[in-house]
Amino acid sequence: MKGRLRGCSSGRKKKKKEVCGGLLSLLPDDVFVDILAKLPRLDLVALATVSRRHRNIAACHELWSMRYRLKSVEPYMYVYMHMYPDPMPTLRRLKRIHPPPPRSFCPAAAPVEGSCFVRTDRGIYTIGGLLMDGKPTSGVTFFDCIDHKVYRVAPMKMARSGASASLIEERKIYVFGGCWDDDVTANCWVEVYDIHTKTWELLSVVSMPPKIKMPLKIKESMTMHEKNVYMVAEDGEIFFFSTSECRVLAAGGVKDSDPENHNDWRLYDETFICRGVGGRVLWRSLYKLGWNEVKGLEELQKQHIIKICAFPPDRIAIFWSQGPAYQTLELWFTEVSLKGHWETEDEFQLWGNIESSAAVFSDSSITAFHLLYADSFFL
Amino acid sequence: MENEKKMITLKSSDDVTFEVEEAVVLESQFLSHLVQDCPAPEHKIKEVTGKILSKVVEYCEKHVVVVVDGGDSSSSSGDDLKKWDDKFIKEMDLSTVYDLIAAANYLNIQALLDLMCQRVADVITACKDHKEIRETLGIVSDYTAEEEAEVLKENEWAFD
Repeated sequence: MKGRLRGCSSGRKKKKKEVCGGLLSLLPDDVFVDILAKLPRLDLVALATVSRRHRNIAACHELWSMRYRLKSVEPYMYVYMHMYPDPMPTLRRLKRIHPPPPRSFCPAAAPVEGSCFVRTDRGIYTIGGLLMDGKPTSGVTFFDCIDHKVYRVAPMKMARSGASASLIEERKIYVFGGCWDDDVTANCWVEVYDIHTKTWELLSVVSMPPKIKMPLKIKESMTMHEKNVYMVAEDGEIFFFSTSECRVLAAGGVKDSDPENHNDWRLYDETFICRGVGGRVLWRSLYKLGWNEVKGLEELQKQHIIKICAFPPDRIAIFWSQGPAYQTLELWFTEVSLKGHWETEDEFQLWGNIESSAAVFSDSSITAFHLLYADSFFL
Repeated sequence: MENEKKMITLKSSDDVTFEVEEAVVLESQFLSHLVQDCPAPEHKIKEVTGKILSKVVEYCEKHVVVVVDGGDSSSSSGDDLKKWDDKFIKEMDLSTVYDLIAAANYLNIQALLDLMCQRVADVITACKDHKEIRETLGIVSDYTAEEEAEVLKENEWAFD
């Protein structure tokens, strides 16, 4: 926000002082929303400090759904980062283009590890995890990316660490596994949070085949075809969960070949993307087990890829750091667009194209960092 | 083909009259319904003053969809229209903008409403901080000093 205004204020007649006065306030709220829908996001924040009415409208759902509808939003990356020697991870906002030095702003004590994260259009749920004393927690928080506040959410019925969670139909969060009790039964393996009613409910699941051992730690869970969840257990075993039938299906003992080296799974329609080792990004079809390398990203193989995440609609974001030869720890961010290509009649390849790359964080005072979570938001 | 064009007279709240072609009136959803439902030659619009109505008419006349030979409909070329819009809003003071927003909202002329809303949004964007927004838009804060300090602190993250 810079530059001077051209004579707008000088010619204007001063109105008698009235609460939240000004001619603008005579406009009905829905018209006011029309105006705010056209504002850049940070100007909305400035507007919230103008008066109560402006603050309420700047955060209202009607406005934000209109901004999405009009595509009057810009991409922002939020990362959840633990920087040593800090005792705790903090949330950071990274702007995609010309990144300013990110500032941490997460006042809530956050678990050091074992939490799972779920994103909605508006923010990030942090679910369970290990507390400083090494015990799992049932605590849940919600970070609202619009007002940048952390809200305490009703705790789960069970303490969980190493669970995995998926958002279904934009209003229900399913949390799987991660219970530390020895007698983990099918009755507490999954619980669901309803974002509208703000309540948790333990679900009793039916398994196919009956009486299979529910996996304690779920490595990845991804929403598939809106209502189903594709899960990969810590040992690589694959499960399906149907939310409508509350049924778990073991895929006949089918396992991912190398679960330790396949991380940050993302599902795009019918293609999985994951972070492999040696600076490789891998893909495979939903229906086939074999992984293939995403072509065209050879440049990144010299680097240490820390995290990949989705960058809608059809891009991926790759976080990486430079090798140990460099003195300063730097976090880099690369945006990659993906395109499928039939090389021959029956050979399909996925190609990545590097759209942009920039250092988003560098700090000589930290000894190491750990990126727990990263995702993009349109705000 | 010089067909006789149907003319309609609009009368503002302060009895200023404007004689316009029917096509111009059709830019407004509200007036379209009005002229269809009640085929009188003159329509009084009590909610809009002559000053504002003249701006509305000016805008609609510029934006009216002209039927060219062959039956294709097209408006003035996009670039020219945009230039015209820019000039149209630049010459206006904010209080006229607000009145035009209210009029465009009432008469249901979406494109004009969008244009005017964009103007206000641009004015807000050009302000350097919340104080300047208040001053420019003539808004009196209803925050107490403590509340304001708190809100400012909460929103500090956006202004680093």
